[in-house]
Amino acid sequence: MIKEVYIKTVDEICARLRSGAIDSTRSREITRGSVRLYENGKIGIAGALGTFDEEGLTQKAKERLDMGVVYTALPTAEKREEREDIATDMDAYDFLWEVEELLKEQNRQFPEYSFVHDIRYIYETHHLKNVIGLDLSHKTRYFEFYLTVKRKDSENVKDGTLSFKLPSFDKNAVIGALRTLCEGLSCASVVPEGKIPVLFFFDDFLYNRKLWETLNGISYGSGSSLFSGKMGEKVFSEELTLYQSRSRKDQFFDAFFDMEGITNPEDRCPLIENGILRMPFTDKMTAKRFFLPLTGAASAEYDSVPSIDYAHLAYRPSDYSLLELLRRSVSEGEGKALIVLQPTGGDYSADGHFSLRLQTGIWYDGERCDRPVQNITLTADMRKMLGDDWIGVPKQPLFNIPGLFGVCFWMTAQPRSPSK
Amino acid sequence: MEEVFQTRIAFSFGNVQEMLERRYIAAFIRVFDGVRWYYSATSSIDAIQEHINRLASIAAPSQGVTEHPVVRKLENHRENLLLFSGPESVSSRSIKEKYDLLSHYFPVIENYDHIRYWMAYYIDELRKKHFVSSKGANISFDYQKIGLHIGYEMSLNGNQVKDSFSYGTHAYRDIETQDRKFANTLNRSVDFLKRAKNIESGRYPVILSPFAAGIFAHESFGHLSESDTYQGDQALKERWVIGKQVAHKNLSIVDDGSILGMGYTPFDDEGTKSRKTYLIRDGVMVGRLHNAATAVDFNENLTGNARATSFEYEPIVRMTNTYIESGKKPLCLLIGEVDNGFLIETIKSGFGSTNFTISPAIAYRIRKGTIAEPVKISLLTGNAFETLFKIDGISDEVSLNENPFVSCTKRDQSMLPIDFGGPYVRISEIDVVG
Repeated sequence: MIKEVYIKTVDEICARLRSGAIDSTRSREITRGSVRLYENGKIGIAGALGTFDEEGLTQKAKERLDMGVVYTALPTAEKREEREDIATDMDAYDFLWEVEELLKEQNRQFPEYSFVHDIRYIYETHHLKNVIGLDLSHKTRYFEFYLTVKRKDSENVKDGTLSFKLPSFDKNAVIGALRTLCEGLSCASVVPEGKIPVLFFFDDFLYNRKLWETLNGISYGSGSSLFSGKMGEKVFSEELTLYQSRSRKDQFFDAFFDMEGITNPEDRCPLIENGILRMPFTDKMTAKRFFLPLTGAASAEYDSVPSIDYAHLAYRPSDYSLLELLRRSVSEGEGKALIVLQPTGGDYSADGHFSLRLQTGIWYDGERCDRPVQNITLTADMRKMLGDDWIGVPKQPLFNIPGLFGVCFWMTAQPRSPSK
Repeated sequence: MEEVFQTRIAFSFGNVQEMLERRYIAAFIRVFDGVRWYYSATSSIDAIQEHINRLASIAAPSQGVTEHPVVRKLENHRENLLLFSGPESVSSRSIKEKYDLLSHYFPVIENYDHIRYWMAYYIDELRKKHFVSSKGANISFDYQKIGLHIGYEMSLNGNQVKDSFSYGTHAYRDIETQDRKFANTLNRSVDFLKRAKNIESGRYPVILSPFAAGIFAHESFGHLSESDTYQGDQALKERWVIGKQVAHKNLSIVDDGSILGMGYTPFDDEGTKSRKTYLIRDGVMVGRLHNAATAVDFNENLTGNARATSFEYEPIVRMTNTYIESGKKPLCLLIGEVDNGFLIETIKSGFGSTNFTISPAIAYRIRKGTIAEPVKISLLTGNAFETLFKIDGISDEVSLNENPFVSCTKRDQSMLPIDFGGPYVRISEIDVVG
């Protein structure tokens, strides 16, 4: 029998800003832990919220070994690493003072706008160890910004949202991003039609959904992925390199190891490299079941069985600015791409056709925003987006926020469909 | 304080993947000083007083806080409303019994061709809440759900269909065999796989099933009715005034946490008793959803919609059971009046704000008043305010979705249990993207 212990603590303070003031503050102090036992291809897990009683949980986990939950993979052995990613020693009072300062600056600089922000100051510890030499621990402290912007005279509920994480409270970076956005939203809107360059935040959920599905090891292995059987083949644009990432460089601030204790060099695992499909993302059981490389994409709640889940995906930035990428892609054009700022839903058909409703987009040249776009539908074929319609990943992050890269494709804009 | 019992069983690839039973007790504390709320969440019940003290030390002393309009607005109930204790509690049932309930359906799906893979889930949850306040409120109530979900992917000649069957209820005594419904769902998927046609994008008349209509109500107007959405926003406040005609005159939308749907909320997380709230009645905006702060801000009554996903989060304004009220037309007449349009039977997801989108899963062409072949539609989309005026037909029977696997996300709070439903609803024209 192999015993494994996982403990996670979260200590968080969140300030909610509304109508130019701090509306509320919330603190959370949560400890979650579990004991996992592995024996004869089965796993038993017992977890607890709050007090961690290892002996009691071990006893419960033993009882749960009899429940027949299959886990035939081997637990990770002989891997030790301790990491601290802590760039600030700010306490809760300092944090609230910084938030107040940000508020003052925002209210002074952008009186024509209203904002609703959630700003979180998070300290997390993760510790995964077992009796066969696994001992990984990570302490991480970071700030999470969820910023919502609206022109005061706008009839929209919100005109745009920006979401990102920073290792320290960089007020100037936040104000700079808001300024870029507000300057663009203050311009008269335009209505584009036809094929246009569209820039997604690299972690956009709607766009990434199909990528997750198609690169998921279960979809790939069971034959239902659009790219099943194409491992090792060049099926994407030459300039496309995509990682499964647990790196801060890619806006990932969680533990550097997955829930099965798997790590990757520089916290990244290439899934697509220079257009070649290297591997789908996998956890141990998926890799074993379908004879695929193991990438370390296991996720789990504190007390559940590790299994494959959405991997954090990140593109390798190119060596070119947005302007240069657009010039390389097409000889004519305005040298701007439309940022998907406020989507209101979208989806893929089973054969990879993507449709997105965009409430607000904004033209962006890599440094400045100008002219918003309201209420259009964008469509594209996923395979083309990653192939012929691929424009690239500008070397500069969006809004100058470290790690917040954009990915640019050609898509078709349809302001309004004809009546049938 | 919330005391939670949860079970989750997962089965795929011929093996049990998960047999999880979870119990915890945890607490959420809040303190108000007349200016702002200070919140704290803890997984250590013994530390509640410590958290209260800490919050109080951060808050500013305020002698008159009990006369503050928000504090005065908070209700002060003392009631015990525990419906699911004893043998009705899911915590009294063995996990073996729960597994048997799920595995009953495995032979059904294993008999079907074209299935690439399938996954089956059983979940249950009993959540007991105990709410006390310094105003004197003292309430205990509970909520329970039980659900089965079997998701599958079929493929044939390059065509694919992802679909699922879900069933939900609140108590073991109400569980009914779903064999026939499950088989019907699988047959429908096979038919879709074999016959579904692509469509030309355009603007079409569309009929939404009760499930799809419920999502539409939730996304198109429900979120707009959550008053914290535009609290402090003068432009939106002026636009969304009570008494304004906001929809076709035949449309009424209701939110009601007091009925035993998946969004059952007998008391909200501020201790307010739930009630039936009309959001739209005969096309006129007659109400919106509130917590105490927004009710004061808008000078309106409490509605019992201050809800938190769990003890880790503060109560914010959320929907409960939201549905469209029935109309007068039988479904056959709604369909019979459409020359060239679509019937949306099931959906994959929905999003809403000023615009809304619905991603259909199973849909059919309506041709000359008759349901024809299944069709592949990737998106229905429109401006919420325009589309509400385009509802030109409502069928005469209402049903709630009752799917415990459906939840709502707002801000950082995901997985909130909600329910939605309605009758069949016809929209005269909406953007359909193929």
